Amino acid sequence: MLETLINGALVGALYGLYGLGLSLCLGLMRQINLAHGDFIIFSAFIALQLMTHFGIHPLLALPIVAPIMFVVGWLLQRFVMERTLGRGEMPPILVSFGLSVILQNVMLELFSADTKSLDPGALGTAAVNLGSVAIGVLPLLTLAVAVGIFALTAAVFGSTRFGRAVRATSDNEAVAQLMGIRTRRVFANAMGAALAISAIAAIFYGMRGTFDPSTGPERMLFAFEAVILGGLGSIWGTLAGGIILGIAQAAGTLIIPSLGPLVGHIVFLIGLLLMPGGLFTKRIRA
Amino acid sequence: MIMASPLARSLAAVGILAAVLLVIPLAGSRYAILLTTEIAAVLSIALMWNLLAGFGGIVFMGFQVFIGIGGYTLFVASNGLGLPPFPFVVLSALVCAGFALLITPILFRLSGAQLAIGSWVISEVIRLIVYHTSALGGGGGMALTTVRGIDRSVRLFATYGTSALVLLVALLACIALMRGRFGLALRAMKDSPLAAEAMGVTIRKTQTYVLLVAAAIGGAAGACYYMVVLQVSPTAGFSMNWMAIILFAVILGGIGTLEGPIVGVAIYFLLRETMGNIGSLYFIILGLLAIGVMLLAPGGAWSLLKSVIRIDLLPIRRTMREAGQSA
Repeated sequence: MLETLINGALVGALYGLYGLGLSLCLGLMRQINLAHGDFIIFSAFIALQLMTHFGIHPLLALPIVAPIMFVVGWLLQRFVMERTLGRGEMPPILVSFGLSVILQNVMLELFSADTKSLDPGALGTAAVNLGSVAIGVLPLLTLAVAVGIFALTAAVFGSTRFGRAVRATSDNEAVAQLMGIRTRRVFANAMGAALAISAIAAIFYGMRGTFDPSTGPERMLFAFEAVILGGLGSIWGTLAGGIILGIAQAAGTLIIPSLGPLVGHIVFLIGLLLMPGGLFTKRIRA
Repeated sequence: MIMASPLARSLAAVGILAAVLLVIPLAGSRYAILLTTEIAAVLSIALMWNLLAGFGGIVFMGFQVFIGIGGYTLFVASNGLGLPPFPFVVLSALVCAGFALLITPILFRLSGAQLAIGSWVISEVIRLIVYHTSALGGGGGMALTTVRGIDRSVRLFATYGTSALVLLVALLACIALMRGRFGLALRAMKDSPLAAEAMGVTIRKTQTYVLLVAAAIGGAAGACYYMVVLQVSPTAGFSMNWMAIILFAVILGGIGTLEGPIVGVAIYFLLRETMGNIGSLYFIILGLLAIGVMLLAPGGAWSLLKSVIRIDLLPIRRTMREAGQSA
């Protein structure tokens, strides 16, 4: 049982990683991307194509897929999402939902509805024994990579010129423009970063579980739950939210194996009722 | 130019529709009647989602939850009591309204994009619960067994009549709500919740009312749809495809107008009936069209049409009286 819960927490790190990209959109850019999960699945399929054509390990596909997804995100923001900004909250929701449906069906046409996974080779079965419990090396690696990406993101958005520009733009676009920030380019880069992070999450997801063109929306819901449970606007909160969600789902599978997602959703809804601001509410400075 | 009053024009338009709905079963083939039954159900659902999102600004992306609950309620009640299913659409409406009331404490913690995904999560929770409930048939769903004893043509006309009635109620509800104080409050709330509240609109109450109406009629329409299909399952009843159909129809027709969903649903069925069975390609085309409309012509097909014929079929807009005119 302890092993299941620990593994749940490690899977939760992956949910945190799903959430990080969404957190950048929602928290910093104040813009939603309902196709977030479908982009994760799309990245996994690109990695699968690279693996089958060049025979490389999924981890080696990572440095190729992440830049591709950065470009996809940049173009998406520049040519589609940007046109919805400043028109209220509804257009981005509707446009990104349309994108989600299109992406799912394009993937269905290109890759069929078959369930796929990214074969991690020997890495998939390697485990270390910690006392009485055996923990897989791959889940541990996922946690380590997730923590690394979170630290990098926090550093970039907290203390670089680019991070400052994004935060300034999200606070007040007009003033940011007056200060010489090219706000549209800043948002395009942030969206690129969000999808590049999703690509990293996608590869670890593909190595641990199975995916098909219809599994995207569920990823998006997990990502959203991690963001809201952790507290919108808090980068590390998203990782904590993801881990809580992972443990909740693992606890659910202990009852009935297929019950994981349901228990996760219910814990999210209860969390929302008890702590509307999430675990780490961003302090509002006067 | 002499024009009838807006309300009279709206009622005339609904009256013409009612007349058409009366003629179809008399003159139409079996296929035409079945298709119209389905169109009436889908149009009622689209009208209700538009009322919620287009007029109220509550972008409820889990609307399929009411369709599924409506369908299941009808099946359970009719099968359980062994009675003909048709009157139970009223029960479906009541159960959906009750469910809507139940989720408001969670739902209205959120707003905008977060409410959109939150409502999606709620729909997933219900789908998964139904999926794991063996009394409801689990993943396989359930069949409507009480219609087996009913004569085929009686069943056809009764299903058609129920669906057509739900559509007329949906249309009249939209007109009545949007022409009155409530519609004004709703649109004020969508434009600026802060200003609306300052003018005396109680936001939470207005939001709750519009959700209740949309849930009730949406649930009744869902029940009508599954009366045609005779089989409901968690995967189909709570499918995100519902949301895709509603959204694409409403956007293509013109979100935030009464005529928009009507035009949009007409476009949707026209494309579906003429393009044949092209599966996923169909959703790709609809999605691209919807995004194009959203970015380039947010008013949709109806606003393009209106700029040509210059008339509101179901007028709900208000215009300022010119200075000097008495009220």
